[in-house]
Amino acid sequence: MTRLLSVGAALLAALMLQTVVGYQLFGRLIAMDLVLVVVVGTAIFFGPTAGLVAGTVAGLCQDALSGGVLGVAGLAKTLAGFVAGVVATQFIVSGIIPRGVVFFAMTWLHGVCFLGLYAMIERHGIGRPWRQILVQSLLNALVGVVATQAIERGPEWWRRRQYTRRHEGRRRLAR
Amino acid sequence: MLTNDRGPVLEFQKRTGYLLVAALLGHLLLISAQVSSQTGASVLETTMFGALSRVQALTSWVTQGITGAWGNYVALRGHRARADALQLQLDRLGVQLQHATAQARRTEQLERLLQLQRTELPATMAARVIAADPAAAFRTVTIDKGASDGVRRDMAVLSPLGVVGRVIDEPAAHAAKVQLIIDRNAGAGGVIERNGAGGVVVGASADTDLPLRMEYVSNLADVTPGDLVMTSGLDGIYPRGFVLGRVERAERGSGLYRLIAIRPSVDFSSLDTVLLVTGPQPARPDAGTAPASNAPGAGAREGRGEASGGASPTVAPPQTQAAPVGPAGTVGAPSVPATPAGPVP
Repeated sequence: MTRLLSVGAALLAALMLQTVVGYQLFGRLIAMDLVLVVVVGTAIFFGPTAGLVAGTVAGLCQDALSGGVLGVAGLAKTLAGFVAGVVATQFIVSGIIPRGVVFFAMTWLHGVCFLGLYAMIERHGIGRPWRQILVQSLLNALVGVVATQAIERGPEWWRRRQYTRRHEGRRRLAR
Repeated sequence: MLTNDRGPVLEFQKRTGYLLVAALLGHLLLISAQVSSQTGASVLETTMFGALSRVQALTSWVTQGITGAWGNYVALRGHRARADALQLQLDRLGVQLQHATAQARRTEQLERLLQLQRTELPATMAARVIAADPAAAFRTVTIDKGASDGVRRDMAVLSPLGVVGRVIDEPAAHAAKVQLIIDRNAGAGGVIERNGAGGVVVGASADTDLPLRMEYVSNLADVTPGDLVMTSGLDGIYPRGFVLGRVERAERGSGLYRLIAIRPSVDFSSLDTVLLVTGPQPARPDAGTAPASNAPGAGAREGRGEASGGASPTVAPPQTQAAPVGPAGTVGAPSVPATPAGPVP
């Protein structure tokens, strides 16, 4: 239940950061897909089922808020979440580089799926913004790696810091 | 023992597979339901948009509160010099206003003398932009006014600098989606202000530097960089005489039409407050123009592509140069834009 709530909160926060805070603070400068980062992160931590459920929910929310067809981003994110989860269970992706590769590859998978579906649905499609996807995948990989490392190692680092402080305090008192 | 151990794992993997297939099938059904639908947005989408837009509004309120507090209390250094400069500018503008008022009075007298038709300033309602599109492929924004405020689908959205876009989909109670004019599926009837050459202004694809282009302008028409492009009102969505942008590039096309790239007058990255046209909508062109559905390019300009068959400015490309907006002083046509469209960049 805690996991479900934390993933839900992370998705909502990513969606709001992407749509409201990013727009109001920076205009359209945010080129990354924070929602996808959360979906892939969920898949890495909790496996393919969690990844695909998170992808479905996040994608549908994203579709509902955007001007596109409902279900396209949902399908692309579902696939990305599921594949990321399968990759995370089959390979060791705890290192920085493998994890970055997963985020990078999932952004491409998502992009190709999204553009492909629109090419089938619409007469003109979205075009081929490969350069934008490249930039987005690099940024997603960077943010994803930093965020997942922080989630994994953050609590341990915090405990150590607290312990060191307490220890130093005792030393001072002893003097 | 091994099978007992592996049993639950296999069962779990099988369940995940079923779940994936179900999710993908669900998405495909959802997409196909919308593609064949003629009624517009689905109930699921409207409900989700309504619920999420409230969260967006709350987040926007918090963000604006923080940025407002920063701007009002922290970043006020040097405001005195700026206030003095603005006062000076205000004084100058006061003089200019007196001059403009006198000129307007004279123009009014001349118009009365020539019995020119006057067009009304459309009634508007202000709305605040609370969020942008989460998927950068589309260019839409969410505003904080919805159906309960009287917002309807296809209402034109303007800003003091020019045309912003139109309301797409059914609005939620307190929020609505606005398709920006630079979206690749957006379109509006446009005319070159200098000579009245008419065409269709459409959003360009995301990978181009100029987000607007004008189509169906004859190769014979005189269009040069720097020309102002205004709305023609022929699309039935946007009132006539509002600024769309300036021509940045105009080249001779290989076919019948020129290739015209336009720089929009509105800075879409810093939209804050917009105006919805609530007053009389421009009449849709009926007789005398080519049917929109038969017009080349018209079908591709719909809110969700041709999938929804939805409401969008279906603009018929003009057969000849549009007449009404002409150079100042032309008898028989309003010589000025219908409403002051604000400062032109």
